[in-house]
Amino acid sequence: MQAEQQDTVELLQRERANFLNFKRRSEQERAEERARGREDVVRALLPVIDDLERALEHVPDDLIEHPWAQGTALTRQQLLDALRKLGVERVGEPGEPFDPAKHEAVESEQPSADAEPRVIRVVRPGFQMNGRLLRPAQVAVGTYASNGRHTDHA
Amino acid sequence: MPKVLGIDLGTTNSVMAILEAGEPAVLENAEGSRLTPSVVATNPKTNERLVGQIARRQAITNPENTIFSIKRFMGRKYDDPAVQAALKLVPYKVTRAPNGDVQVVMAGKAYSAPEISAMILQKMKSDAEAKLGERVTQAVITVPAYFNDTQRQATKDAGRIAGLEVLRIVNEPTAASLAYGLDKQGKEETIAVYDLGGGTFDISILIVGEGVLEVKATNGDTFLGGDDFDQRVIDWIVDEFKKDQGIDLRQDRMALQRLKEAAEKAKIELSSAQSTDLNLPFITADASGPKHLSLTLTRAKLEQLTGDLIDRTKGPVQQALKDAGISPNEVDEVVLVGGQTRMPAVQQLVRDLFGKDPHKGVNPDEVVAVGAAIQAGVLKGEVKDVLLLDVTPLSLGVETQGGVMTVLIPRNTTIPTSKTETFTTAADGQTSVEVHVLQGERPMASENKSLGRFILDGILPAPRGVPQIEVSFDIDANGILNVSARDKATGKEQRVVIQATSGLSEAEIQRMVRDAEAHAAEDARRRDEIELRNQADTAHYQAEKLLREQGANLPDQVRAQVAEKSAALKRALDANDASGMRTALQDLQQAMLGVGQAAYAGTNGHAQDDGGTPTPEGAVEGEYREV
Repeated sequence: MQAEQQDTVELLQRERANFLNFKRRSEQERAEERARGREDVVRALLPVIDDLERALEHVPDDLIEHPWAQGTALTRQQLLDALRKLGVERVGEPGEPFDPAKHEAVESEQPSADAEPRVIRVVRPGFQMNGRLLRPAQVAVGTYASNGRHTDHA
Repeated sequence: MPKVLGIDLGTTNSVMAILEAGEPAVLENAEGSRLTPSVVATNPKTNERLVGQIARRQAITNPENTIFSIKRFMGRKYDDPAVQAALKLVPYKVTRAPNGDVQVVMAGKAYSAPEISAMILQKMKSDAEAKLGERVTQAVITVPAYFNDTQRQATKDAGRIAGLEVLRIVNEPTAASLAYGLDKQGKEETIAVYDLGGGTFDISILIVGEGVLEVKATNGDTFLGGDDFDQRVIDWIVDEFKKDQGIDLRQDRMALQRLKEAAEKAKIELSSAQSTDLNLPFITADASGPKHLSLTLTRAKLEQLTGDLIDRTKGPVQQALKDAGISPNEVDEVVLVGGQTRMPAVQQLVRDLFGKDPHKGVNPDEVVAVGAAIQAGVLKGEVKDVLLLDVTPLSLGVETQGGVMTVLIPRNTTIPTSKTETFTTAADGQTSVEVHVLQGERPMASENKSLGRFILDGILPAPRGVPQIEVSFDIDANGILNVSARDKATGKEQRVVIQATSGLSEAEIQRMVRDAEAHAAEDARRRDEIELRNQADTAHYQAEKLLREQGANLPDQVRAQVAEKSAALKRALDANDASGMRTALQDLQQAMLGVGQAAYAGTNGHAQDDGGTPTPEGAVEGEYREV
């Protein structure tokens, strides 16, 4: 009888603790959920930014000064500004040390043995939002020479 | 009590789950992802160790020190043919340990397979601890049903190295069955678990009896999975593009990278859509300028591209059935595991093979980890009967004016629970109320089950709407319903105890819920009518009361208007004429507005029978409500 009562009290305490823990975590998760909702929306739009970038990279030489091309470039600027205001930042610059916490290596050149592996080319930029990684930058990794830009990068 | 982690330690990805208040929940890792890639790497220069997504991202820069698919080596000897087959596919160094076991080399140091697995487990353990805010020291880990004793022991060792006491090693198909509660069917049953993951296919036949699940036979294909499906889509895109543009994208690594992602996305979309568009602008360029890729992939085309891969699962299924000594129609339950089983064509094949619909509902990527967490709960006694909280199968409430059921406790509320609501009288001078306790889903009292009724009397005579009667419902853990009613003014109380609200079989409950759904439209119409009736009744009552109490102070014209409209409404009410009621109610409400205006004019000392005084500027008309 005594033991049974103790069991019940223990059970109750456990349930109570479970509940409090659950409450704490669900509050934390709710906050994360809200952030994630925004992140999902921005993440879904990233491929559009990629393609707009690609379009601007491929402007034919004779059109670079054309107002139409310049207007498109301004549109891209506007889009990136709007995202910046939402806390979205680009990740991945040529020359920075390779860091798999924010870079995804998609190409690798054999680095010279003593040199630190660096980003030699950003294949597709990454983005983070308020410090959380939305998408890693896809990069080529190798030995970076600051004066010797890679010729295959437009 | 500390939490026990349920871990699905996979070949490609691992998943962890816990049981919380009796419910399984998958935990995210530190990167916020529910899947943790089973990849471990060491940076040869800094000796920094990386696990999971981060290790995967640096893999191609560091292939010889990035270990994946370690599960293929767990508990195996170097000379094992399976090891010899697998080591051809990995870029890292695999060697023979002095005892003949497999070793892998990472940054110049040899590790056993359990040590590598332990690094994955360790990450999951510490991520779980960060998430839960408490120490985690125990785990249940799943393994393929075909794992032998050595492989199970190796998995257990991995847990121990990671600082986890492994309470039990559970078969993956068993865990998946537990996630669907198939251990509590109450009779002996045969279960088929069809597991098509990223890189491997497994079929298991299980027998469940008296809560024990036993694996009767397993079969599979260790090199068949979702990745093969993706490759088929990539090949198709490349071929189409070549046909169209004459350019071979296989030579373009950057383009291939984009194709890989697009192919996987398209495959996933086609599990819910019939067709999907692949748009990859500026995929490549030649002398004539940039080239765009724009294709439409239909579900039918995808099925044609991958049909032979799906068919390859047939042989192992038939072999497993043969080994278990049963025919396909003897299988009682079918469970799907692995992301690729989301594909409708795969589900159709399973349906054709077994002649029945597979279980769905639990995420097939997570179902094994969920089952492991449930097993952990069973071992810790957390899923004891005493803790199994019940729910009310049907709504509970009381009958209110117009024969309507007012719900106090909605169906599927977890018990024990209680609810209090205040009601009032429907007539002037009413000195007693009847509390009629009801159970069911229909809006009308008469169509629900009557559980009991009692009368609370001794209410002090008062105009209707004034007395406050508090009605409380309380269901204890045994399902016993206590209903009490208390007059707030006198404190007088009556109660009834209704023994275990059951009396209804599961079939009856289902019927009542179905009835409610079937009659939803008709019920809604009837409820509207009753609402209208109640509204009309209240308006009529208030108009009469106003005429009685304030009539002398009202301008003749207004008084006559109200009296006339009120009488018209009464006639419609008596005739039970819904459309007449609606019109008469509107008319009366309009007439009552006149009362407000007159009263307002009166308070300003400008009341004139001729009504010639203009409304003062800034008057707030909305301040008058029906009284």
